[in-house]
Amino acid sequence: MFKAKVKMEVLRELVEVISTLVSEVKLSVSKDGIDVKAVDPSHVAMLVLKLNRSAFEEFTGETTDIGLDIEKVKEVLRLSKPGDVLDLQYDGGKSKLVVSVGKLTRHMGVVDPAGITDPKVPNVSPPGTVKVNTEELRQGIRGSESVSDHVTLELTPDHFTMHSEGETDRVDLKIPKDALSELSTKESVKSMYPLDFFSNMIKSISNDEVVTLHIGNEYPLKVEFKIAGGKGEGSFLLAPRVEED
Amino acid sequence: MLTVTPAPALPGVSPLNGLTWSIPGLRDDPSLCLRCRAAQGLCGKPVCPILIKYDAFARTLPMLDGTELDGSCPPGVFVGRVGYPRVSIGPLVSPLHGDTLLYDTPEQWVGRSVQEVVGFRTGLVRGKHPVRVTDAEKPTRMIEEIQLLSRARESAEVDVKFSRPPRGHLSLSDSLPPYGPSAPLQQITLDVRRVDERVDRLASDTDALASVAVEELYTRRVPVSRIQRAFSAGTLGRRGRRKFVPTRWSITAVDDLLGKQNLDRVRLLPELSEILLWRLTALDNRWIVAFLPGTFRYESIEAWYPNTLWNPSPDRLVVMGDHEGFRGRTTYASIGGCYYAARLAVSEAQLRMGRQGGAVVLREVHPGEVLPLGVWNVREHVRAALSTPPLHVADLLELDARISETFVIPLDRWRSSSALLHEARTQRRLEQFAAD
Repeated sequence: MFKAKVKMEVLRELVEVISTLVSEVKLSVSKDGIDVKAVDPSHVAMLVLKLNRSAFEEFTGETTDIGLDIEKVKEVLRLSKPGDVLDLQYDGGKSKLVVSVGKLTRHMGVVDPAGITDPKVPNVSPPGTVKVNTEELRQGIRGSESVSDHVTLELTPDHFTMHSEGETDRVDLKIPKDALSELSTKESVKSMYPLDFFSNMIKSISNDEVVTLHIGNEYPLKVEFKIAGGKGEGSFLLAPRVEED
Repeated sequence: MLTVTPAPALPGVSPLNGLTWSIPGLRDDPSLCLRCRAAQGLCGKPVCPILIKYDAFARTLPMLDGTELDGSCPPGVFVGRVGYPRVSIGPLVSPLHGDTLLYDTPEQWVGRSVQEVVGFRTGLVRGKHPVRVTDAEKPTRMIEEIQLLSRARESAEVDVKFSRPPRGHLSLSDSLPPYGPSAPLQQITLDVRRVDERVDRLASDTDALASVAVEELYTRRVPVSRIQRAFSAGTLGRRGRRKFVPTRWSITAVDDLLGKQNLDRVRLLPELSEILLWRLTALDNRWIVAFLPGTFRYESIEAWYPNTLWNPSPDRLVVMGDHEGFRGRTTYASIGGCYYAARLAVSEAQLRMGRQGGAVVLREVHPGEVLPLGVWNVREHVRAALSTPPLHVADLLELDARISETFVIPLDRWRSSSALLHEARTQRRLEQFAAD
C-alpha cells in the first residue's frame, strides 16, 4: 500500500531524471520513501535514485513495487500547474495507481514490475572527483553538440576540462581548480563519453546548482546530484567510449 | 554527417568533365546537388542542369499527336506537387492495351535494368485535372473515377480526352519513378474490372485515421506501392480530413509511417547477439546491410562517385548519411526519402527474424546509375538483399574486411562516416566494469 501527497515540481523532477534513460520504471516503495534503479536498453547508462519521505507533503508506504509508464505520468503533469499538490494512491497488485490533481482523477493502469529490468549496479569508484556548476556544464554541452557526438572529460590536479572534437572544429570548456568548490585527484584522469547521454543527464538535473562528477581513465562516469531541494539524491553511471586502436 | 574527398580512380571508367561549370555554387559546396536532388532549386537555376543533361531521353519519347488516347492504366495515379495546395491529379495511361500492371509496380522491378524500367515508364501519359488538395471528398465524376483507379487491383481499360496533345519530357525526380508526357484531362471513361477489396473497405471506413488505415492495409499484405497510391489519392482517413497528397510526399510518408509502426514492435524483441551481413549489386549500386548486436539503431550512408547522378563533380567523392538511436529521430533525414525507404526494409527483416539489432545500410553509387529512378530503388533492393541468407561475421574486424572487399571506396572513408560503426568499436557497456 502506498499513499502520498507530492508537489507537482517534485514529481516533475523525478520524471525528468528517469525519462532520460527509460520509458517504463519500477518504483520501489518502502516506509522511508521511494527508490529507483533503471538501466537504458543499450546498457550504457544507469540511474540509482532515492527520494526520502520528507520530499512528500504526506507519505505512508509499505514495501511494494509499482511499475509505471513514464509517458502517462507526464500526461498528468501536463494537466497540473506549478504549486499543485498531487494525490497518489496505490493498493498493490493489479489495482490502478490513482492520481488526483484538484478535481481531476486519473486511474492509471500499471505495468507488471516483474517485466522491468532490475539492473545490477556495478560497483565503480572512479579515482577523481570534481564539483562543477551545472549551468557551466550545460554551456559546455551546448558548445559541443554542434561539433561531435562524444565528449572527453579530463581532470588534472589543477583543472577540469571538457572537450569535444569533430573533423574540423574543437570545443573546450576549461575550469581551473580555484574556480571549483572541490577538485580532488592524485593524477590526471581522462575518459570519453557519448554526448547524447551525458547531455540528457545534465539537462535533466534541473534544480541542483552543482553536480559531483567522478572520473577515471577509460572508466565509467558517476554523476551525483540532489533532487527535491536536497530531500532526495541520485547518481547516473555512464560507460565510456574508448579510443580506437 | 557529410564529407567530401578526392575519389580513387574507378577501374574501367574514364574521368569525364562533370557539370561543375554549369551549376553555380557546386565548386564551393560539392554536396549541393546531393542535398537538393532537383527538388529545392539550391543552385538558383530555374531548371535542374542535371536533368537537362538527360534531355536526350525526352526526345526519344513516342509522339502522341491526337487529343484522345485509349489504352490501359496499370493502374497508376499521379498527384503533382507544383502549386500546392492547388495540384493536378490524374491517371497514368499507357497506349498499350491489356495487362500493364508491371509498369506501376516497383516491387516487381528488382533485377531489371535501367533501360527496362525507363522503357515501362516512357509510354505512360499523365492526365492532369486541377484540384485543391482538400477536394478529396468532393464527389465530382472526375475525382471519383480517378479515386476508383487508385483502388484497382488490375489494369483497367481507359479512354481519355485531353484538351491538347500530350507533350513534355520524360519526367525525372529522385523520389519518383520516371513518367512520360502530360496533358490537361478533359474526360475520362474507364472500365475497372477488379478493385482491391481490402483498399475498398478502408476507403469506405470514414472513422479510421489515415495512419491506422495504412497500417491495416500493410498488415493485410497490400503492396506498399498500392497503399501509397490510395493514400496519395485521398481515399484514406477520417471523414472531412481526407486530402490529396503529392505522390512524391506520399511515398516517403508511407515508408516513414510503416517503418515507425514496425519499429514499435521491433524494440520489444530480444537482442541479436552476432553480426550479420548482406550484399547486393543492382543498377550499378553496391549495397551492404549489416546488423549489429544490441538494441535497435539505424544508419544509412550513401557514397556518390564523381559523375554519378547527384554528384556531377568530375573528381570528388561525396558521402552523406544519417542515423538514429533506439528511440528514433524527430528531424527529417538529410538524405531524404531513401533513409525512410531503407528503414522500412530493415524493420521488416528484424521482425521476420524476431530479433532487434543495430542496422547499417551502406550504398556505393557508381556512374552506371544514369537516371533517377525513385526511392523504390532503395526500398526494393534493400528488401531484396535482406531476403537472401546472411553471412555470419565473426567480429568488427571481419566486418571491416568485408566492407573493404565489397566497395571501391576505401574502408577508412566508411569508418569515418559511420556513427554506428564508430560507436560499435568504441562504446563500452556498464556490465563490462561490473567485476571491478
